Amino acid sequence: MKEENGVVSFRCHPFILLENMWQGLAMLALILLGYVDEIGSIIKEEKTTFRDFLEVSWVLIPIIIVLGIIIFVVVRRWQKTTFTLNDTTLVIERDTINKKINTIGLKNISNVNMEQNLIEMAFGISKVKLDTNSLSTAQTTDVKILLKTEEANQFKNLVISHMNQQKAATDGNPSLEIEEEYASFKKEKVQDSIYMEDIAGDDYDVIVPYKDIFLHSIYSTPVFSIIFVLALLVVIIVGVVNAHVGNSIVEVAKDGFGSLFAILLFVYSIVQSLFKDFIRLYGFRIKRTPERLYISYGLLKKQKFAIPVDKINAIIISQPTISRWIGKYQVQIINVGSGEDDTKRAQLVTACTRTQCMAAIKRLLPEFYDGVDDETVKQDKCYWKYILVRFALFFAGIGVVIASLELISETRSFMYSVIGDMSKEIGSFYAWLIIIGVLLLFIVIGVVSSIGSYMTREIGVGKNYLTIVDGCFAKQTTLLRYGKIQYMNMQQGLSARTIKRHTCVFHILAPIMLSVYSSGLFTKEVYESIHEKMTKHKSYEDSAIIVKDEQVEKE
Amino acid sequence: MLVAEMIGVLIVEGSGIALLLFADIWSGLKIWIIIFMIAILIIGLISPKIRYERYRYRITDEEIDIQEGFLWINRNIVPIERLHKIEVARGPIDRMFGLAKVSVTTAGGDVTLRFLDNEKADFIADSLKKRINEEAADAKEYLNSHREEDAQ
Repeated sequence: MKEENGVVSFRCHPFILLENMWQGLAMLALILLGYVDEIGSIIKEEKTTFRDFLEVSWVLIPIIIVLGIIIFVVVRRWQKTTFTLNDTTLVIERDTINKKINTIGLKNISNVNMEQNLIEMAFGISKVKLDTNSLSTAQTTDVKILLKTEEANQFKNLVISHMNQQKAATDGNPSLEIEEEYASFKKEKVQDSIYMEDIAGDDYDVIVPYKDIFLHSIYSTPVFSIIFVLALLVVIIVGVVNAHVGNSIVEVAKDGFGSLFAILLFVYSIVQSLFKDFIRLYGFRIKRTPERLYISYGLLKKQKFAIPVDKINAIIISQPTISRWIGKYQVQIINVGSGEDDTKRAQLVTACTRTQCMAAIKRLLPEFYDGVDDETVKQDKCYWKYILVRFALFFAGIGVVIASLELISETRSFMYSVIGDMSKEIGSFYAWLIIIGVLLLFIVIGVVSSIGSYMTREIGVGKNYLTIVDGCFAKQTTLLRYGKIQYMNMQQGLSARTIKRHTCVFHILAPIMLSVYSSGLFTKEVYESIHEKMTKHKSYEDSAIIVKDEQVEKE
Repeated sequence: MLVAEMIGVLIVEGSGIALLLFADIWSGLKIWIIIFMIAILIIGLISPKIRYERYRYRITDEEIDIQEGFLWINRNIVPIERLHKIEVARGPIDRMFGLAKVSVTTAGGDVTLRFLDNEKADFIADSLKKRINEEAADAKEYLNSHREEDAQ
């Protein structure tokens, strides 16, 4: 990294070449794998006819050409891409065939995160990920920069300090004197919390012990994953029982599985199901400063997030199925840029009791603490009329389809021929059992999910927060700031019209899977009160929330 | 509204007729296609009237409120303070009838006001732009006063 007159310019670490090329290389390698034998025999000179050579070369030559193009394009792009950071902007300039200059205002950056996977750890490099608070790029990270870990930390700290100075300068001060005073005041504050290269281990507000992370991983495991693992275990046991007596355990296991690959797959499934969160959240720690949350975790992929508190649009207090059975809670943050690329949520609190969870929210996000105990109401008993109407419509639909199949001669004969074929294969009794069983299964699923929805779905119209409770087996309580709700969409279908109830969908700024929250069947009055609060609360009021230092205390 | 609906119906009916005449499909399926086409035609004839009666919008100093729908009634409520983009668009059918649509964009998605005449669409877009600027000025004033209080 070069610095000149406060302007820093650099290129990404060359390792990014491998990261950008590996997928293309892997695909080419896969294609080549299909021709390994032919290439091998040509090399061994067993077959050297021109025809044999042609058979291989029509694959090899394009692969070599494509490989050459990939390497050329990727290397050239790396050579011609430069990053320049000054007080106010980050400029990304790419001078290839299509010249592009992207200028990102630092005041628009919402998140500055760091990431380091296993291979990057081995080479001492880290990724810095920057996200802007923008809907159009909410799905992906806006900027990814790969640098040596030390330089990555420096760059991250520099960006955050410039962002703070930028924010102080552009929030509007009526006179130059106050502006200067503000700048120096802010700089002092900034040096306190931002110029540290990395937060020292003891300086975090919350450090979760490894045992608790392990338990969190178990409590967060989906029930279906446990069923899958148990089923695999049954397969192994059956395989072992059927295997030859007297062989070694590895051979018996291989017999039971059929291959070493199957054993590895089983081990991977267990790790993925039961220990995924342990690996993901290993070393979990958080620090809260007046304006940001610093979150760090990860074993195979280290992640460090710096999340501005005023850009947190919602929090989710969740209870996966197992956690719900044993009374454990966990909390995630919703904002643009937080979380990994696949989950899009940053963990705030790992699985713990309700008391511990509330204490953690009070300490780490006191802005949201007022909303956690807001009163919520369930859907009223009219919900069951709605369910009856829906079931009636469902069965009426099934009846119409079956009647139509009966009335139309071609479809009638087709239907009976299918049933006839099934009866021939498995017997008439079992054929009808399967048909009725499938129908009953749909009904049971419908009934169970309706009961689950009625038991869980609630809504709370608090003073500053909207609370939406949802979930059939796993429970999720979402706290949305009214000022962060971008718009609401009230809906009323045919069945809901019979009971004069509405559902509603609330839209916030977040990655697509997390930007939409729907609530259950409630009266128009409930939604009108939410409408009123949404309009009354301005989004910029939340931006002005600054927690005083005395509110963030170390235990 | 009727024309837009009928164009959609014509496309579906045309595809259905093409399938019936030229595709080699099982006769049972043909009957189902005919039933489907009749259903679409009936819906295409009655839904514009219902949609027209149901469609309404309201724009105040604080919000935009749009209600529309046929089988499902949808009501979109957008606070003006959340808007950051306004777009006026005129498709080919809109141009035939001197109409336009105004799309407003928030950080959470878009909402559209449809079937407005040109003059009204331009007036709404201009008014919304003025309101957005007023809201931005209010926001700046609020943040300044808040930071001054903090500094004290």
